[in-house]
Amino acid sequence: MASVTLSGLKKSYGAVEVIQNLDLEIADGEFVVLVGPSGCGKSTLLRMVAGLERISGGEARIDDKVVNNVAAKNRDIAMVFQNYALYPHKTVRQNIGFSLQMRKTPKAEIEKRVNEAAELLALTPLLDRTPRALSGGQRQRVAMGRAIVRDPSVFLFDEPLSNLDAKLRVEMRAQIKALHRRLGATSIYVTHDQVEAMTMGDKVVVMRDGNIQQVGRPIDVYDRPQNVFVAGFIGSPSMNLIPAKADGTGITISGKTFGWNGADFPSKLPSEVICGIRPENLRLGSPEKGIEGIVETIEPMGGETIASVSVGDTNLTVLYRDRRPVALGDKVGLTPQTDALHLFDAQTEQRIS
Amino acid sequence: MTNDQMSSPLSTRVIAWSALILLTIWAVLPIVWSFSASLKTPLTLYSEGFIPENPTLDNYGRVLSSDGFAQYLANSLYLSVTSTVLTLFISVLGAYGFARYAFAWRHILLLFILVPRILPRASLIIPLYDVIAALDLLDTYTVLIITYTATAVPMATWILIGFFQAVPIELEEAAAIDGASIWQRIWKVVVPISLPGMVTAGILSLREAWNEFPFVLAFTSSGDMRTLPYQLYAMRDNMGLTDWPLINAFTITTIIPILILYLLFERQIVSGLTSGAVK
Repeated sequence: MASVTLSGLKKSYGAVEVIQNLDLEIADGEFVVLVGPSGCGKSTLLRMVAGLERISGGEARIDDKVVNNVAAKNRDIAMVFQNYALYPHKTVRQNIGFSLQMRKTPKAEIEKRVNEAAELLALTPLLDRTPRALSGGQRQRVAMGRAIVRDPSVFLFDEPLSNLDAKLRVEMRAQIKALHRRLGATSIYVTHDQVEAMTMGDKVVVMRDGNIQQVGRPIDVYDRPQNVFVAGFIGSPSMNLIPAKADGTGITISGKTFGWNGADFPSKLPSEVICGIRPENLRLGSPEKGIEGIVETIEPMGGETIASVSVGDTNLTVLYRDRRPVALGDKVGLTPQTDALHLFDAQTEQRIS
Repeated sequence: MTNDQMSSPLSTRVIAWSALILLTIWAVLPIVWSFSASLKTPLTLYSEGFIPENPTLDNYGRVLSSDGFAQYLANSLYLSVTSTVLTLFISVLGAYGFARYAFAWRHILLLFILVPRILPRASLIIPLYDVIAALDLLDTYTVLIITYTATAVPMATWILIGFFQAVPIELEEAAAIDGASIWQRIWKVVVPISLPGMVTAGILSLREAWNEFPFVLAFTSSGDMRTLPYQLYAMRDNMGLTDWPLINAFTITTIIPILILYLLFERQIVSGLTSGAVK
């Protein structure tokens, strides 16, 4: 097991800087999820840790060893690729055992460890098949097996579930988590799926344009997003972000003022703010009571319903769990829970604490 | 879907089949004719029809027991196999470089390595002879292996580049993380996945070396350096009266090994020739 420390890390392709001066500390045994939209540099960062991408500046350390110029094979890491990258000409057994074979492990030892990994991942009956004779989920498990067989100090996952169907994804998510609990290995997991980020990580790193936007426990990032970008990115359906005016008495959204009602409001307020309201913190009511709008779409999911309400030229998303007789085109009023608002400075887009 | 929609119109099928039949005849007839001639005697060669009336295997017996045949066969085998192995070895390394690395003049270099194949072989013989004589390599296996390899490498490299490019880079990255050196990545991952390309390039190189004639004629002089194609040429000269049935028996004997190889690897060759370009 090992810790990973990135300090002042940079990556540029010619004049284009894709990672800018990035610092990140990953503790021994921690499961860290790098999340962000495509092109934010999360995969590049992972590949730099893996040794597949040259580091343009700064320092990457695994435990206390600077690995900037250490070849991938000597970093004692394992990686699960998005497309699995299984060797098509080798059987499952050979795929899993390849890294041990490369390290000149005795045959009997390879056999033993491959069997153990296969057992753990329910791959034993498939050991003599080639990857082409496996389903997507099975291939994914072989890729996992190849990673765990060597007992590396750091696991790297590059969007490993994005090629699976929704049901399998949920299953594999749980399986990877369980595996992590069992092996306790330091893991870095890249995804663009914020559900994976929320459910899997001990720590979430939200990235944008090669910069870290926020680092924290998933629930903290969800509850206290540091800026407008994180607020909009984490959470599904996304947080509503609306321009508003706030002062000591309350907050005015779309011409409607709501009192703080005892909620902790920031003492120093800029006049222009962006108000963030999670869909579950908006109440649907009669039009005269709240922000007036018209119901545009209704998505009943069974356990909960997501409605989109047009207010002026924006749309607000509402999530509710009870059955309500709301129909398309209905005029409704939306009331925010004032103790669950997120306020951001309209200029800097940073959270106002 | 009705039957009409599934198959092409009768006229198209007639044209397609006619073309295929013509092509087959064009390819196979000389071999069949040669085989037929090899079963006759010089006297009955022209008097009998296509199918010999009294077929005889005497000519094959004479070929196999002829002076030096075993030596020529051994020479041909040794030179073909050695130059093919060398060709594949060099081409794998060259093709890997072209497939995986972007470097200045890559395209020009890629075209440049084809030059030996664009030039007529005859035009190379005099300058090569000078070089080889200066190196004191005339009449050696070495010179034939070098020249055979040198002419086959461009073709094999071009075939392999397409295959290597089709191997996803992630497989090599996975192998690198699994602890493989670049050497191991090439020989344990890239090459096995490109097997159809290796077989195609290998068989084509082998065939070229097997049938090669100008170089062996120009650069060797002693009898025990001769290869089968050289002997075929020599047979015509030596006998005064050309024994066509014997020559044809010899021809058939020499093409059998290549034919067997083709049949063994037919599937890989077909997929190699067709898939490398578009994959």
